[in-house]
Amino acid sequence: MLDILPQLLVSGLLIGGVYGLLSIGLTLIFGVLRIVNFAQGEFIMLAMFGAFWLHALWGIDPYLSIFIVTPVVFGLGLLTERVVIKPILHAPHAMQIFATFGLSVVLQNLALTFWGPDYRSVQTEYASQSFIIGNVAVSATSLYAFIVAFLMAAILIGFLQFSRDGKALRAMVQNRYAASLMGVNTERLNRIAFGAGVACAAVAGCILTPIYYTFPTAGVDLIITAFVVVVLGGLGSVAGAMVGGLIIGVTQTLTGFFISVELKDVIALVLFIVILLVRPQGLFGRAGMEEIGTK
Amino acid sequence: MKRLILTTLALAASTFTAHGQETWRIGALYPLTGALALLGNENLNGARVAVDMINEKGGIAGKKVELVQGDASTPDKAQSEAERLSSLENLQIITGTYSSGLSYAASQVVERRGGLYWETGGIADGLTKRGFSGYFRIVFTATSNGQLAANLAAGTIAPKLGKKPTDLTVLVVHEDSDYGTSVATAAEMKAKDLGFKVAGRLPYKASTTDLASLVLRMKASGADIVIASSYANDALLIQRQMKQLGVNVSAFIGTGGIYGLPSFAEGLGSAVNGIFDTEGSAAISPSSLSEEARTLLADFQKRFQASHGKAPSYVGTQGFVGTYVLLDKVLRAAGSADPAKLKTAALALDIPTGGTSLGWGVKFLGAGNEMQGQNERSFPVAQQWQNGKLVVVAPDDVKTAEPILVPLPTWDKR
Repeated sequence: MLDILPQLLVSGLLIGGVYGLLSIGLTLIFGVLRIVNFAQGEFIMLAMFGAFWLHALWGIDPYLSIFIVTPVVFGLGLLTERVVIKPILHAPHAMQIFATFGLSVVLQNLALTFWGPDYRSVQTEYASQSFIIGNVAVSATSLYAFIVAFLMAAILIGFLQFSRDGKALRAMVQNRYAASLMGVNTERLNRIAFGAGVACAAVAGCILTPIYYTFPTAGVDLIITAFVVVVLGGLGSVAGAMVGGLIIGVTQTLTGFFISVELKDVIALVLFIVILLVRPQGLFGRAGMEEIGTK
Repeated sequence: MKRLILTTLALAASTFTAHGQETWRIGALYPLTGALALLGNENLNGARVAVDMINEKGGIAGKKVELVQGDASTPDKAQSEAERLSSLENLQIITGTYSSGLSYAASQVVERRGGLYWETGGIADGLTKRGFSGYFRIVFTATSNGQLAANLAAGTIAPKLGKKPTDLTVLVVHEDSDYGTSVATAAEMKAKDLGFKVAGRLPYKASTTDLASLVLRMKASGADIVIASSYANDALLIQRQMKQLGVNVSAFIGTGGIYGLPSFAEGLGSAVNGIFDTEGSAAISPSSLSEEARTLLADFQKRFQASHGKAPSYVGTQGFVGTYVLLDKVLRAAGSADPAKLKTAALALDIPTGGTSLGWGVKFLGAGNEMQGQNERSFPVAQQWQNGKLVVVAPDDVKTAEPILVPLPTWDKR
């Protein structure tokens, strides 16, 4: 039984990378705008449809379609910020939840209207390929997702730490009012942060197209774990999202094998609650962050 | 203000009654949005063709039939839509629902209001174990489907492997809703009865994003034959992760739903060949159908293809057959939307096997029977993906091809 342990750890880390990938955009948007974007899964779904159609119509590989789909979704994000997010930025939390949840329903039904309820998939050669190392099989698609997730996290952290806009973003998160007095254009940064957050969802969507079916409610199943991961890692922390993803992934895979496949989510959630009891702000979060945002 | 509302309501009510005199209005309750939208719409599209065909032939007793749609995307919505259709729209007949969970919720309302509930899709056994007098189900039960999967393993797969059931290990995996659980329970019990070693039953959530732990347990169990009940993403994940993790079995039997849809084959490419699927099928040997059933089926398939640009799936055909029988046999015989007359007409139905386009006959079990309202002449068949197409391989009297690819080639050779 124990000789399967390396395989379980590898499979768990790989799916953990996918969870991280799904969570990065969510945590970025929360960190800056302090809004939980319940429509994040739908942006993933839209990107999946984008990758699917680019492949179906012109034979473009889903991984290459990242470079086409991401800018389009980024634009869509800017538009969404202007139309949906900006008006509710200072509204009560309940209002914000209604707005982004409503957006998710609208996007799902638009997809249903335009593309119908069919399950579509992209058949690529690497869709079910794997690399065998010793007696451990490494799924190709999950490995690519894992690598992209860490690349994306690194780029984002680099941007926040070193670029001018990144520094301004962090200043704004610390004290929105003071930052605006220092000449930071907070409206512009809000827009960029929301656009970048959903652009992360677009990258995730393209990367996941070879693994999952594409259909109007595809985002719903994918994003649920991401919410848990984001809270576990610490709301607003990009590094936390990655670590949180890995922890949930490994826990689910181990408990799924040794205890029960059906209960793997439940057990991961119990672990989640235990960690939050000890560290209410999440692993990488700072106390009170849900009120003041993060760096 | 109050008066204005009352007047409007009264006016609305009177237009409804006036309307009701010109057409037969039938409630059609299906999940049209949300996670079950794909097969819900497919089922309804089949039902629509039945209505068109009846109307073109002059309707029933000189009146046309009209479907009043309800969107039952979740059990809660199924219940409120059933409430709306039966009280506000004043409908006596409601048909649906594709999903067992939705059927449970909606039919509760209709039964309480004394109407007729006509199920053309949900297969969970419990639906017809409630002793409802107005609930009729034309499709087969989950138990018969699960048992067929086990019978296929014993009668077809084991001999082809040159082994006895006692030398073979069966593993049952299933998503944990009503559908998966009831099919899997029946398959497990039947497999034990037939002498197989049963490695167990592994439930999982259909909404899961990763099934590596399930597939690795499959490997650890040393299963020769896997029987699986799944929705969509989970079915694709099981196959792809089996390949990635190098898990090979001698035979894989899916039990309906996604396993019989073209999108399942599209997601797997040539690796789909050899996988079995148990559910109903419109591709059974035409010689087992009555002439009327054959003609209707051809007409249905032509119309569906013309309006949707693709051939109907089994689920679409289910909607067609169920609705056609309801209109042409039950409503025509009753000649009235009075629930008492409709129930009598339904119970009096006696269509011999082969009399509908899915090969089924129709004879409902009456009051006093444990499965009151169940059509005892419906049955699932076993199919197999061969060269990217589904063909019927069992039982013998309806099959069109012999099973091949037993044992399944290993992943590197598929």
